[in-house]
Amino acid sequence: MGKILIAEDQLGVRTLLVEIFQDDEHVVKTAENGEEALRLFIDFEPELIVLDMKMPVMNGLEALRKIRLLDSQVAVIMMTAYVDIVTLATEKDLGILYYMSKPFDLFELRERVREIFLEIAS
Amino acid sequence: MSIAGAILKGGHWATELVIANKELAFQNEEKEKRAAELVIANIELAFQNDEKDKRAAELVIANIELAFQNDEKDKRAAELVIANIELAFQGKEKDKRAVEFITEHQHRLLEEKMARLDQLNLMGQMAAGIGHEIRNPMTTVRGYLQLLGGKPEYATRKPTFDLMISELDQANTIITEFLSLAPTKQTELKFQNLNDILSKSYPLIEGDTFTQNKQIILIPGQIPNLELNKKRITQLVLNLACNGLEAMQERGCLTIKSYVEDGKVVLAIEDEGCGIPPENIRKLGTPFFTTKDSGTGLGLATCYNIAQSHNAKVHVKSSSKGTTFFISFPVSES
Repeated sequence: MGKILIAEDQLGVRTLLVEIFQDDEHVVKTAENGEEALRLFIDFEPELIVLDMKMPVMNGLEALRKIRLLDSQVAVIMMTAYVDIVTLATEKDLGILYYMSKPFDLFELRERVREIFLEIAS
Repeated sequence: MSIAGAILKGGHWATELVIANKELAFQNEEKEKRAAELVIANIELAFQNDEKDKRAAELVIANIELAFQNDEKDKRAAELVIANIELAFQGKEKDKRAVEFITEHQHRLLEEKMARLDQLNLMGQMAAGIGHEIRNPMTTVRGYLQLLGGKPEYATRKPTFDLMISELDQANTIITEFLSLAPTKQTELKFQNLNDILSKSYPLIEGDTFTQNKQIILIPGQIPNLELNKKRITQLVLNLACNGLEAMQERGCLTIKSYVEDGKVVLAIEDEGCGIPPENIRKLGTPFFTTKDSGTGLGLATCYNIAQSHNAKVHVKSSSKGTTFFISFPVSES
């Protein structure tokens, strides 16, 4: 269906996301930190990026700021283990469509991704 | 000896006898007088002993006063010592003990307060550190439980999967409450009115109130703006209101008030529950202290922490007719 880039340093979460997105017939690539995500973004040209807030080398927000310099349109879902969604909501200019608070409802994420691709398709 | 001579001699003896008797009588009187004097002397001595003790005490006091006269600080300490000595000598042992008891009690309360603050700060820091690390593996486990639980081959065990997911969510609630123990940053405080936060929280509490067949009244008073963290104050109101609702039987009424008293803005949350036993009042706000079956013991600890980060004080008034939590905020200068 679509191309999804997952940027997540935790192997478990990465594996889970790959499995569920591949089940839904998406093409998936993974990065373990923000820097890798930035490189893959250029090569892979994803339609959706699902990235974690806290990662080594380069965190999710920093990576997204750099990505936005290259592309202002790509859909983004931000994952975070911190409760403070209020602080994150101030990052509106980065065009984050959804925040997923860990541990999130997997089916809710799946639903959000479906909606995004329906929107892209239309 | 002639008779006349005998009479004369006899007369002489008689005279001597009379004199001897008189002397004896005199001696007796003297003795009695001395005895009386002795008694008086003894009584005086007895009095003198009391006086002596008193004078000894005065001497001690005078000496201490003299010794400490040069240093004002020491003088005050000396005065305290003197006051205690005086109290003791005045036979007011009871009063002295009362003074000692009050001092000791205040000291203990202060120590408890400090220990509680230390505990909360340490917990806040720990919570912030481990929260992220624990939530990641929880995401994986929760996700796979949802995935596997949805597969047809596990259909018969669907309730078990759901149970595991709800247990994980409960664990996450504890982490969330843990994280809320972290101290509020000064930068997150904004000038706003407490009544605005109360009116926004009201519908959230109202929903629970009606489901539980209870009542709620909001009485916002005329209050000045305060430096508040909206999110945390909302949490404090919700936690206290939730506790109040849980404490009440059906048809009980929860009252939320705001008013100004003694130059402070007071938020009062009053329930009509059965009250808190006196032995538990002092433990309120201690992390993990709970009387509820499914309580984490972090709700009130969080409230105390939120109050502290706003320089507000928490007071509790409780009787068999209900409990009121008073949060007094200092009025900040804008």
